[in-house]
Amino acid sequence: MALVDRTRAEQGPFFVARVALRLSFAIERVTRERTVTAEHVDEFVRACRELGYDPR
Amino acid sequence: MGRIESGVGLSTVLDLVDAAREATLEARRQCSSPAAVLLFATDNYPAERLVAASDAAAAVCPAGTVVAGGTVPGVAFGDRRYDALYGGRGLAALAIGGGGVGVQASLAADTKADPRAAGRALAERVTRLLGQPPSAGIILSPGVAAKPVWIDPDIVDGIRAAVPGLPLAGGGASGGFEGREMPEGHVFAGRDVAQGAALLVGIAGVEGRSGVANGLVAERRAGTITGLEAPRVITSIEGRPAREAALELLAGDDARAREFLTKNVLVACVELGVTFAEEDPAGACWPHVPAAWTAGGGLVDLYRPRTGQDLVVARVTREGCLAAVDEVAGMLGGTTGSPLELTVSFSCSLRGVTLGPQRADEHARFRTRVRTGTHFGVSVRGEIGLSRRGDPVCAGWSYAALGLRGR
Repeated sequence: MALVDRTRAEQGPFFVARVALRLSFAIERVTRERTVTAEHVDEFVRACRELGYDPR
Repeated sequence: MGRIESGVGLSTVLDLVDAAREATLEARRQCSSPAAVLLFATDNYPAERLVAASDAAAAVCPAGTVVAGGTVPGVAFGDRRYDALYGGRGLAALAIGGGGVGVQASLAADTKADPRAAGRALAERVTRLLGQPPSAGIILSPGVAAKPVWIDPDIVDGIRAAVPGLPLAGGGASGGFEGREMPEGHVFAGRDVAQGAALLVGIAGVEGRSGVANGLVAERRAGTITGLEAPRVITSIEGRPAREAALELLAGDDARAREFLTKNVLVACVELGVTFAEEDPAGACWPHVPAAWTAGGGLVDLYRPRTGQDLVVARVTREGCLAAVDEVAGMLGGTTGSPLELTVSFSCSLRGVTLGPQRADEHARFRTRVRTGTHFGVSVRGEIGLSRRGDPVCAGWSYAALGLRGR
């Protein structure tokens, strides 16, 4: 998931781990299974914003 | 009386070798004839280029300058701070010298077979190279990422067996993150580099002071460890399965906290500011941060849990983290003690999560709480310092510092 990679590069892996705690899905799993949907992306962006970062 | 000369340079250029050269040249503008230059590179630089970086630093120093260092989670100087955990990248060079000041470095590549002996060998070698026992020391250790088990306490015991009472501070080198795994960091001395190794920098001709604190506050008793799968999986607390007991103790009635803790106990503990800890005889709390759950319902504790050990639930807050900075500054003499010429602090990278935006102020705050000339900060993964009683402490989520002045 390119957005996750960019977020990790800009905010670091611990930030992504904190975001992952707030998601209803497992980032690694949807990336591995190539089942990323627009809803996944929206949820990821919302969780990032909750933590003070806008990845878009 | 001797006087310490020091200089710090910071570089954020992408190439590690160029960064080492640039930072060393900047450090030498303040310390033109260093006895040693220590390089601290954030762990997102390629470790395979450390020898070339060491060579580049040595090439811009007087012949015979000791060059040593390692990979760490972060570096800070003045108002600049770079943490790999938050996407930053930087290399810091700390040049140390001065009349009557000697600095030597020793690396122990194999720390696992007999860590205490490795520590002793480090101190004995540094003593031989200096021609006298060091009067202060900086250590980069395997830290909490050490595989298969945390060995910093044994290494430090070995160092202090060779040089009793040595004022020592430092912490764990870092190899970043690979998924949820923490690879071991790299340290080097000259052209010798190793992963999961220990580096001791011994300094002679100085007076040294060391301190460590964390600001944790014990909230309530958690219970006694009743089951342990050595060396670091707690299987039961007060006879209850560890995971079940830990979730109840750490989350209480907070369903969201319980959800977080279930998903990723380490990140959740750091974010929620809660952990298990042990209290020492002086009443200080030293964390046993849960690192992971096991498939069998156990709890991985990187900090050497023991059967029969009493644990407390402790809170970590921003105020507590900052209070720890003040406490360590006080241990080094504060604003009324004899002035120091160089202070180096070692802060757990996790404190940055607790402090949030205030992490940028951490080392600046220390600078105002102690009389010092140059102050330089490093983030590490497992901190090492001396308690108020002078006993060595290896801990996590803590802030440690070494203060030096010429003798």
